[in-house]
Amino acid sequence: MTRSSVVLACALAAATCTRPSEERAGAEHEVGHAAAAGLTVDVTDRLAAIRTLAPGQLALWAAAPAIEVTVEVTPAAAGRWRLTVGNVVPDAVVALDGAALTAALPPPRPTVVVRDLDLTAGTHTLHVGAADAGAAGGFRVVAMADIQTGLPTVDQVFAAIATTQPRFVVCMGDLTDRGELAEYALLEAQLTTLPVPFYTTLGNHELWADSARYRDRYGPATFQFTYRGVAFTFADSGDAGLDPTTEADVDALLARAADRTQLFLTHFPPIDPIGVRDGSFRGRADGQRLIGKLAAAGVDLALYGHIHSYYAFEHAGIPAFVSGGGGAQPERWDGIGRHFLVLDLAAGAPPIVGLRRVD
Amino acid sequence: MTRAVPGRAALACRRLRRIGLAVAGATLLVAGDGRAEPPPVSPARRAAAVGLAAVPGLVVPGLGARTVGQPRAARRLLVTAGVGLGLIVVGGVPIAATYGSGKVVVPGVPMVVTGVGLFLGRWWADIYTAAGGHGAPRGLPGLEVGVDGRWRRHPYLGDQGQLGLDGRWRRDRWELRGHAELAPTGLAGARLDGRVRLWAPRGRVVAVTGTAVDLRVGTLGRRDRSVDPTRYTGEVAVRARLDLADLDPGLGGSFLDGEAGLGLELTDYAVGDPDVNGVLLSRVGWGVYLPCGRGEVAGFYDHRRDGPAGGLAAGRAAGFFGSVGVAAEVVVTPAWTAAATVEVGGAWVSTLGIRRSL
Repeated sequence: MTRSSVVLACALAAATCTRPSEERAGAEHEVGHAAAAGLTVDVTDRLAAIRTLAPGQLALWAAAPAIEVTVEVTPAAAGRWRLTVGNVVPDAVVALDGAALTAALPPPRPTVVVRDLDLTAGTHTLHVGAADAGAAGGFRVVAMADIQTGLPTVDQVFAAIATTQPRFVVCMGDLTDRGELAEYALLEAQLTTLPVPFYTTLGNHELWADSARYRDRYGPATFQFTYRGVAFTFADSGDAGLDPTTEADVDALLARAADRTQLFLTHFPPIDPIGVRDGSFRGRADGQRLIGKLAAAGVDLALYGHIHSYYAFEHAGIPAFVSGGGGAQPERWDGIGRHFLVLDLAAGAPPIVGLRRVD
Repeated sequence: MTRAVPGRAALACRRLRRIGLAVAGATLLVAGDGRAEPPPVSPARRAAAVGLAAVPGLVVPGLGARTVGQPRAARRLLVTAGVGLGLIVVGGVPIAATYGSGKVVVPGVPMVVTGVGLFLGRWWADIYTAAGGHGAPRGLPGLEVGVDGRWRRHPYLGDQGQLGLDGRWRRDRWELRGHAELAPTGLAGARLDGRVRLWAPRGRVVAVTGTAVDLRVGTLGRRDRSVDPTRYTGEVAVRARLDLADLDPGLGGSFLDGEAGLGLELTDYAVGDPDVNGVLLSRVGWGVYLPCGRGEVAGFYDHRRDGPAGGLAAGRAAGFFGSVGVAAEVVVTPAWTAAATVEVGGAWVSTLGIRRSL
């Protein structure tokens, strides 16, 4: 019996792992840093993916309405560089060391900027994005999640989103069904139909393949940006929980924005509003611990995906929504179908959330 | 004529004698239940039976039992597998078709969990039968107290040790269990369970570990650390055990366990309003009785994710599964019972304890 117990324990040890996202949480910290061709690029707070860094070419994908990039240039690399930044607000401005740059080429679409940078040897600072990011006043955002098998027709959802005239879209993950390269290519094509930027974290379906595919394209999955005094904190819960490294990152981000109006976005609801279903964190106590932290940090609104329906509820007194209507196979008998949330936000004011059906 | 009032010791002896008689009666009933002596099986045939039960036996129920000359047991295992598959289909199809609608989770999930338990349990029972396994239910004392140590390795909380105090009282159809968890910082959790035996084929005495259906009502409170939310749960469940010898004497020595129920959990946060959420209880297990009434060992799957182990990090199916584990009880001496559990979910939880009957 003793030997069989040992064998069983070893089998269980091989079959189970309590930190499935440990490697991903560590890799997250490498986002926004790269060095090649005489350039060292460092994106503040990892708020962009570096898609290309090759002689004369620097291409970024922004994960926030305004990003700051520090560039160190070696003497050999000094000269003209073509900067392309995708996923920016349509009126984005680009400034190099405080001086605004004019467009090098007409942008292929409203969410892309192209500039030529004349870089001298030394350190430079680039600012790219919304000039009004630090301004006051209300604004509108759309929240959505769970595109998955709806990817071929998500342009219909994007078209409906465009009619609400949001400043940008936030997404709680599950952009693809299986994380396949063809799906990412299709998503890239579909995003060209969206006239505003799309800031997202990942979901469990992005983990059906190497998560680097997500990271290389869209950058961080755990990050925070502030727009007009409202903080948006995204967290990677793709394995139905937060890795300890991610949880420590989230702790720091929540604390940083504790005095602001703050939204928290992640894929898995920490606790399923239908408790007996448990479509949520894999450990209920882990979900409750996170909710306790959200409440302590004064989070004003929590947004989740994963469940392909719409639920409005509260946890620890925080208004919370599940909105998984991006086109994935819908939950039946709920009368919802494809949908998204329209958020009217302003610093210091309670968020106003509306449901918008697509079909 | 006056009758002398018996002393406490005499009462205890009488109680023990009564329990002993009940156990002996149950054992006699089991022994006299028409369990045929298994036909002699050569080592080669037994090895072949184990191989057949283990590999094709997953999809062809009862191959092992049939090979060792237990055709009726094989038929019963076939029926058990069929019932299991039926439950999986009846419970699972609505869940899949509605993509997890909350309206079909109950009773869908417990049906699927029970179905999988029956389907896999009959497979392991067939292997055990083919291997010549045997064993029988044992009697339990009327009063037990014990201590246990629990070690938990949690990805975020790290390694945690706890001391547990355990008490169990049984009388006729009734059982009461209490357990307190003591962490270095103080009381970390406590639970109280009451059970009543609803049905058993040989009398409804709870002090026998054979086939039975129990109603369990429990309440528990727990928090991981002083800074974490405190959780209080009330729950009601039906818990059943099928001693496979009652299915067919040829299958003696192993058993199937199952539990299904519902709970309500109140979460009290340090900041913010408390929450109330439902809890689905669904558990299955398969185990074997140790020879000579020395205890039992069982593997289990527990769908609930509110325990210290949480749910398995199940890769692509993350967020769907509960925990798996192995639990063993070994009667060291008539007075002492050792118990050990290893449970793996989002955390590893190992418990080792000892109880003394009084």
